[in-house]
Amino acid sequence: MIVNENLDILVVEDNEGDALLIQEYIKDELPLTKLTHAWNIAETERLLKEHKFNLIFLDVSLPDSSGKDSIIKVVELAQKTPIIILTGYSDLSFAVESMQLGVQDYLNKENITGSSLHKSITYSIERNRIRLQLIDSDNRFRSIIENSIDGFALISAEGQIQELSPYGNSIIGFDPLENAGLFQIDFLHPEDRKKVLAVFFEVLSKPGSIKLLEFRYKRPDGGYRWMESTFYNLLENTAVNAIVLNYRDVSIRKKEEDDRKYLIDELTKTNDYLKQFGFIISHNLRSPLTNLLAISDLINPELIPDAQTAELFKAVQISTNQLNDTLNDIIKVLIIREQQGRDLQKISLVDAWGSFYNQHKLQGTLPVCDIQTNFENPSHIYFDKAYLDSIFSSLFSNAIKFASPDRPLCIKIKSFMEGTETGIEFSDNGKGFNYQMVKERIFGLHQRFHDNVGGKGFGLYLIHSLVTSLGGSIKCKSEVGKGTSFFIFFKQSNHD
Amino acid sequence: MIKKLLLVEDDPITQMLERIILSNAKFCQEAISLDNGVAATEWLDQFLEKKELQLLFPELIFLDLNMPLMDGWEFLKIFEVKYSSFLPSTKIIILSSTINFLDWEKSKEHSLVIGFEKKPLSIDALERLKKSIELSHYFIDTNQ
Repeated sequence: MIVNENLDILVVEDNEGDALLIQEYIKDELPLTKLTHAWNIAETERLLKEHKFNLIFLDVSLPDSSGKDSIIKVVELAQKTPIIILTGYSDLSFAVESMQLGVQDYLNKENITGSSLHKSITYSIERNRIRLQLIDSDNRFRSIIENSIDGFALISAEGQIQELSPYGNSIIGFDPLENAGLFQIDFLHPEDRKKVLAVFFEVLSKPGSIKLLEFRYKRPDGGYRWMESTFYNLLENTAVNAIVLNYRDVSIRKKEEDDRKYLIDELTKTNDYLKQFGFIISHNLRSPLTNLLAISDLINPELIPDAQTAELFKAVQISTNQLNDTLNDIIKVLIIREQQGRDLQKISLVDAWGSFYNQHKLQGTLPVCDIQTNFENPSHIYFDKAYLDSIFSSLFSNAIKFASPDRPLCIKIKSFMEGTETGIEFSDNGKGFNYQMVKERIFGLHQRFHDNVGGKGFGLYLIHSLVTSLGGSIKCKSEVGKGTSFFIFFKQSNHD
Repeated sequence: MIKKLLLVEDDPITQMLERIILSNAKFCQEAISLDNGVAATEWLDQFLEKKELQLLFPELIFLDLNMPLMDGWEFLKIFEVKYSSFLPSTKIIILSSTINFLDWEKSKEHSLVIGFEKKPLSIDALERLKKSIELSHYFIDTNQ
């Protein structure tokens, strides 16, 4: 940069001849310059307090101060203003030394030329500006580090640690102002020491590498705190030349994590226990129940001579069958809850219906009724065959349970496509119910909507569990006296 | 009619009821009750030890799944490895109170298992079995 502005220069010189000479030179080279002259340090001090100059020429031997003292004093007073020292041959070596005290340049009074003066002024002002920028940027960087809520430390390749951030001190339990704290390996929890050192050496071996690590650190009060840290190898970065350790206190988060883990463990245990309990109970109930079923099947009530006993025995039969139905549904629900993540298969509806129909026809478990099916579009769904079987069975037993006494039962089953969804509609002409009153609650546990039939609500809960466990959904429509329709939606394919 | 049938079942009341139902359905001449898998293997061991006795082989085994000491699945495995070569015509039907369809699927992996019946055993179920491909030849007289 060329200095072309109106400079404001102070010349501090006790020798009148030298002072005139310098000022002449400056006027020749930079005619627009405003010049001020001071005879001694006292006058300089007064001027500097009143006015800000662009540059100071300072003679190092003044009546009231000389040499190093003059320089130190003026550098301090000048603050950010660049200084050029004026010397003679006798103290040239001192002038060179003085560069370290913060002056920008020196000129030999006995050897000044117009061009050397011009050059020195230009360089000094420019160099000073760059120096100030560097100081500024360093200050900004320091301020960021010092005000960071993270702890920062630099670790040399030999393991020497230098703390950078005052806040880091308070993280590890020391007064930030005293700077007494220093991150130390000795304060690591004995169980974590090996791990931390392993990570440190791993990072040390790879320039540029970063590793995350959590460890416990002992505070002066003896308590341990959890630290989350990064080790960053910046040894090859000449400006840093260290491994940068960055840490923060995560004890609260750690405690929350531990609490959550404990809670999950407890819940898992309780849940497993309940599941097991459910299975044991239902199995242990089933054994005697099947015996009861066999017994009530073997006894012929017509052979019982006493009318009341025969009547009571029929009640035993009915109760046994109800108990059986409910228990079966409970067990099925338990099995589905246990069976997570069954794979979806491509199922031909015609085949699946056919095998269901034949099996139940054979066992005599299908009602005598009109059944109409239409599985043309779509002909396939993605589901589980055994689950679909179970759904058919539950829908049938539901339809039988709520058949209307006024008309023969008629069931329609058809597949459908609605937008991108595929589904099956299962409709009956039974009693129906007021759907507006119950809505989706019909698929919950222990819902009963009919006063006159022993509905247990498990059948629909079972269907709902089966469908949703494989990503599907179910809806219902019903009207009192007309019938009920169920719409079961399936996942599109096994690829999503 | 089936001449000899094994009933592997731990519950004494169930045993009693099944014997009545088998008899009512005229399904077999003799039913031998064994309390669990261990008792069943011990009984079958006589065929290994005294082959010359030419004891009457059981044609069919009704096998419960949930039993103490040795359950039905364990018995099935042992039977396949140890006894099936000596008893080539013996078939197995699982008779269980389970309604877990996964047990049903699992039983299909065993070729000797020709059926899976839910408890309680009924005369209807036995009549159906009499007509099945695997067993109908034992009931030619009665089926006609």
